[in-house]
Amino acid sequence: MPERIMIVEDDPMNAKLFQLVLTRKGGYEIEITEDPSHVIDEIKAGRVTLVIMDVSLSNSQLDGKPVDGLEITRRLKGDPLTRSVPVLLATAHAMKGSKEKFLRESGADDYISKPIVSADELLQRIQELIAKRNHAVPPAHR
Amino acid sequence: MPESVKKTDPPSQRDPRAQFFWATGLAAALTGALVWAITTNYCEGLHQEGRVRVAALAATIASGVPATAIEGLALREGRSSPGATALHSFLIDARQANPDVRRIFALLPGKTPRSWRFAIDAVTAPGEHVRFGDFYDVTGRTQIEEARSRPTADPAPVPDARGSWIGGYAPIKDANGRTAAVLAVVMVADAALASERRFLLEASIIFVILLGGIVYTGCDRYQKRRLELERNRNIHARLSIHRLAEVMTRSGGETDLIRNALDTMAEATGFERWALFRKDRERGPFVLAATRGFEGVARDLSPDATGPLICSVPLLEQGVPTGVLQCLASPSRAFEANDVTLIRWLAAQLTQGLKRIQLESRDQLLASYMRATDEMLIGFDLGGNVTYANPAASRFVGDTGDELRGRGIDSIFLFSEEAGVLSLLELLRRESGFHGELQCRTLEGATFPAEVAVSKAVDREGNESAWVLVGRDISERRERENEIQSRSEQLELINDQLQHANERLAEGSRMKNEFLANTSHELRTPLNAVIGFATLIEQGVTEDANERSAFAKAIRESAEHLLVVINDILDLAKVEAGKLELALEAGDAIPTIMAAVEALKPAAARKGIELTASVPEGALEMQLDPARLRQVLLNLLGNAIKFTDKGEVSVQASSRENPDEIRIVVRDTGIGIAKKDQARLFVKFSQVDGSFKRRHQGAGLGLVITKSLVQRMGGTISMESDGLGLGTCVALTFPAKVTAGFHARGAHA
Repeated sequence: MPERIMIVEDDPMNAKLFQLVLTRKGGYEIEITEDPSHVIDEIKAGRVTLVIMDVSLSNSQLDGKPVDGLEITRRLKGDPLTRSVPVLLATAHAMKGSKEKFLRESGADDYISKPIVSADELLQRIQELIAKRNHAVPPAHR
Repeated sequence: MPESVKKTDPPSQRDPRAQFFWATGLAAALTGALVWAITTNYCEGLHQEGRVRVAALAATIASGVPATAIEGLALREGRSSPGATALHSFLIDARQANPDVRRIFALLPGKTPRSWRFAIDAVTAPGEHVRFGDFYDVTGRTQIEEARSRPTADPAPVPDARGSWIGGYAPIKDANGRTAAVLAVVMVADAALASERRFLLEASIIFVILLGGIVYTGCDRYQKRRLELERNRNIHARLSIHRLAEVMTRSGGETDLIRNALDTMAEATGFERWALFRKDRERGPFVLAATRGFEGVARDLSPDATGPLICSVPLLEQGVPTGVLQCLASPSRAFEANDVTLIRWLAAQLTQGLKRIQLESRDQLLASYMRATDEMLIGFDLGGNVTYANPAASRFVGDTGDELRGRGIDSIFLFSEEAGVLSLLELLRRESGFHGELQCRTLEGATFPAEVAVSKAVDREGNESAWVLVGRDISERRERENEIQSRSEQLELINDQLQHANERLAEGSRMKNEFLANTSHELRTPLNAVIGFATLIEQGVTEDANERSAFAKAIRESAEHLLVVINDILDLAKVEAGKLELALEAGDAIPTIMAAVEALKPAAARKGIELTASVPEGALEMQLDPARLRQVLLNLLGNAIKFTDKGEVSVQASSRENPDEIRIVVRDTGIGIAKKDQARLFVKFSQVDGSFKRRHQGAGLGLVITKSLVQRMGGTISMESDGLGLGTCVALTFPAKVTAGFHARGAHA
């Protein structure tokens, strides 16, 4: 099965950019969504290798309530059925301390700030996360 | 030596220097004695007759003594016992029934033979006071012993300074026939021996006539001189005693007054050394004042000094001794009976004088306190009329003359209306006093608050005849209290303001940080697209020209968005610095409104929303900067479109409700705003939702800038929403220059 990356992003321009970079340069299969329950379902179905998560989300709702990327990540990491999939926070919130705060609050695996000045670095971080996950979880359980 | 002066006679005018007079008198007396010797034998019978009469009188009175009195005669019962009282009143009655009798008294036999005691004093005359139980000297008076068994009388008349007396004595027998006491009757010998007196008178007259002619010439001259001296001395004494009273009523220190009084007494009496001893609870007796030289003589006195050197008289105040007046006699001037009486009289005068001094000094102390105090002291009678006002009261009430006296107390002191009491006097009719706050009205009509205490004044007889009011002005205190009150209120207010300011600062600081984070986010988001797409082109991700063109377009659009954000930030900076300059001119707002609507029609169309404008026919003249008004409308309409997913956005402009006002209302059917958040909307750096949920583009600056621009054009902005999901309505009002009729012009997206 090809490695499939789920992109949660509300800005269409940036979503398009992720799509181009990850498919054209990284060769990944991707899906762009703003719907958190879809993300959860896809992970549970075993169709997601990694999640790239925006923090500010205009239109995302879970259980009828608006949620941001941090809240969705918390849900994913709080559920044994979804916690093994790495989550990479990609956000324009890049003040001093933001990274540590977000990682601590959400339980995400990594953080990259926008603007993403190097597509190669993004791809490298994604590869590292996938490798780490493969190392931690035996193939039989994938 | 008070015992020796007990039985004294009133003072008589006697001139010790009248040797010549006495010599003449002696000659007459010798002649008289010769006559006496001749007539004695003849008179013996008459004597016997007088003695029988007075003894019979004594026996008659003694037999009339009531049984109850006899039973109560035991000495130890004291003079106030019922028996003693009964006997006393009986003896007084008996004396009144016998005008010739000078004195009637009873004698009780003592424990030893020949010792008698006064059982009762029947008559007291000034200076004749004899105490119950006093020893009665019967030396040589066997007739009293004799009277235990039968009535008897003095063997011969007893002469003294006031005349010749004869005593009759009779036993007072009890129910068992035993003698309980002896009754003594003393009567004028003349009365007892009236016929004897007549005979002696006749004989004397013959000799006086004979002698009168002989001594008249020599005697007459001296007599005149003697009378003159006597008169002078009387006048001198009277003057001195008058001076004593004068001295005692003079103002000054107590000791000085007494010393002056003693000096005056020394001058008046001829006794030079006087001292007044005072009893003191702590110190015991002490010399209050003395004439010069007293002390030295007092020291010389030895306990066994013989002769009547000192005369001590108690100062009695209502029967209670308060001091002792002492007079020292020199060997050249011994005390005589009338001196002692005079000293007693002086002691009584001194007692009164001392009392007056005490009262006066107390009065003076009180008076000076009342004059000096700052408290108002007002006396008023039971009818409420002011009878006294001290200087402080006059000052406070503004009385420069004597206008307070006679005024009604209720016209000066009033209850405040809320007290529910009509007048002070009305209250005092029910209460025994008052203590509280009243309004004091000055004569000029001004009032000030006064703390007042009213209590009853009691006169010497113990009657409650007046009221006394003590009051003080408390307006200063009230002012201070009010000031403290208002100060503390101010402080509280300032405290509140500080707290609010603090909260605002904290809130401002928080919002500023949030704003920076948001601004950073808003700048970074389009930058991500710019950099990302540029990188894709640069790295030749696609060879497709169309796709490359699409990448370039994405870069441009993102850059344009960046520009909007940057302009907003710059505008805000200008607003903040007060440097946002408007090109205000009189003009029609309608073209600007329509232009803004036209500009946003494509955006509305993309979201499938209807955008309508309704403006009146003609013009809406106002002071405006068209570019800034356009910016305001673009911002409001842009927000409305952004937050509305279906339905419509409309703008209505009119001056219909108020001709002086142009009202532009932007209404949408969008997500609305919760009531609690509406107030924050026009605050810079603030977006309704502080988290990252449902984040809309924009740094939260639009409305702040909009509000500032509206205000600079003289307008106001307000936002209303019935709540989340119920749409939003933003109303702008501007002062109108020209009114215009209303006509709807539709503009559909």
